[in-house]
Amino acid sequence: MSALKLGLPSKGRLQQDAIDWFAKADVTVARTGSDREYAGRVTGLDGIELVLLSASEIPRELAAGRIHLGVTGEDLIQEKLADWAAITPKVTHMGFGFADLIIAVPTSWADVTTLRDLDDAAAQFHANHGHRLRIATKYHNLVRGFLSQHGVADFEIVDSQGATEGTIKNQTAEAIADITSSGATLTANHLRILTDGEILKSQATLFAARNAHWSQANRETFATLRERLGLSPDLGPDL
Amino acid sequence: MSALARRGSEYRRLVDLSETLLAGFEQAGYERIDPPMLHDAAHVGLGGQTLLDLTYLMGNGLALRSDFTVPVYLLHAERGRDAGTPRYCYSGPVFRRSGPGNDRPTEYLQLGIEYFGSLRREAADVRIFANILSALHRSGLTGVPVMTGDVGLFHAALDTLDISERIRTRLRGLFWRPEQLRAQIERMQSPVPLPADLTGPDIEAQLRDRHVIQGKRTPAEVAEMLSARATDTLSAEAANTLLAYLDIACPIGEVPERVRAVLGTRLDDVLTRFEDRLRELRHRLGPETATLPFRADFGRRHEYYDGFVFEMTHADQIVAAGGRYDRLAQKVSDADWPAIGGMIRPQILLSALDEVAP
Repeated sequence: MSALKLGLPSKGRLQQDAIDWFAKADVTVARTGSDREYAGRVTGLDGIELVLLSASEIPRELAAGRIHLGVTGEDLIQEKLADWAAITPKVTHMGFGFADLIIAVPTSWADVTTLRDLDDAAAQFHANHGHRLRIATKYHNLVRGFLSQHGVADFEIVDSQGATEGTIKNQTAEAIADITSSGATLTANHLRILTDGEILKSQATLFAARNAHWSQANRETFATLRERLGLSPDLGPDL
Repeated sequence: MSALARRGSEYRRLVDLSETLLAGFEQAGYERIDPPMLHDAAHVGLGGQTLLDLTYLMGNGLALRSDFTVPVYLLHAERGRDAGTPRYCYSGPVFRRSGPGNDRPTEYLQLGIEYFGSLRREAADVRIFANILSALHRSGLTGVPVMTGDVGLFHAALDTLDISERIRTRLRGLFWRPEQLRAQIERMQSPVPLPADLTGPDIEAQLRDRHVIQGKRTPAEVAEMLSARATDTLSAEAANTLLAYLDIACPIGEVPERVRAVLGTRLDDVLTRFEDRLRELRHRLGPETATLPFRADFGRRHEYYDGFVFEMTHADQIVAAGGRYDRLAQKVSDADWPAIGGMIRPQILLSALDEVAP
């Protein structure tokens, strides 16, 4: 009988918070081997196998059904899976890993406080500089969809996988879209969030994989877990 | 029919339909060509934000074609000025990124024609339109709803208004987004006061004093935007004239009269050419063409269009469309090659044919 596979982030704060969160449901996740070894086991509830993955790979593993449950941010799920709601139904928010995906511009742009202003600035910039206003982000799909929905044009997305706040100073972008929790990094880099520039409020979330093979035993394990988490044991129509 | 017929009898019918359409265009004098699927990503933006957002950029300076206009132009430009008959037909897949709320296929067929040349532009407009329409008719789809527009007429209408170049340029660029265009017309009528902490003559200097300056957008540009908004407004008269123009929706035969009612005689040169086109339509396709629907705000969201545009639909799906893009050549290679093209979506056409004659 194959166990229910639970995907957790392989390191960092998100992993520790997730482990603490499951402990409240008497599901104990213990790392085995050294700190650097990506292995662990679950006690307190039979039939669960732990899979440690990079948080950014969990959406893909959920979509493929190689894990039954996975913990990751809503930002990553929505960015990486176009049809996420149908593929990976949300089980529950977990109350940590809060992060807002926002659009920010240099504080010196006194004329740009809203998305409409950004659209004006982008048209002006395109005409003056011969290329579109560049927005650096790793959230290409979310940003493109958000700006399109709000009628902003004359921009292009440039990829930035880290230190995104620095791209403006380095002149590889004019504005950024990135995750922020306190806004301190933005302030330190002389950037300001647009008043209507919040794309997504994200937090760590437990997702289920519709495409996984759910045996009767897996379903029963999941129903027990749900009960311990204070959720209805009914798996709902999705699984 | 499924979006993509790749095998079996549906595939056979799709191949036959495509070959019949292409053979018809070849007989009409179009040279059959095979534009590459990958082209220089630098040209993707010419189709505007909508097309840019839909295009797969390969990350190596190449883009997977999301329509044929630019690839066909590039192929034409390669041959140089003495290229012979500048009329082409083609068929093949285009690729479009899907996203949330967009369930269109990421790959589908387009089959079309393009004409490069500056002679008798209104006649060329009608020839392309007629070739596309009669190709649909010959395949068995008749009575298909048509919509027409004229982006050049919008540009000309803007040129008659007593407004600043800044406002003219901004409104011209917003044509493709009707909601934003109307919102901007509303917004530009009232001055936006300077932020309370930025008063006095030298806004740029104050920005430099108060902020860390970074990035390519300069304090001069910020200052220019702030002062322009504070002083350069759109008069109510110009705004109302423009809105009245954009509201025009009537049979194409009535357009000159309706435009004159809004703009007086200021557009007579342009309307004379519009009337030439009406005459060509009547001559080529019959008097009933005067009743073809026209909308002043219709432009097909492909930003390289700058003249006559048209679209044929079946059950709300675009089965064929096209338009004039005279300035594309200028933007890509500084050449003067006025052009118009039209395309058919064979898969939509086939499913439309199945519905009208099951």
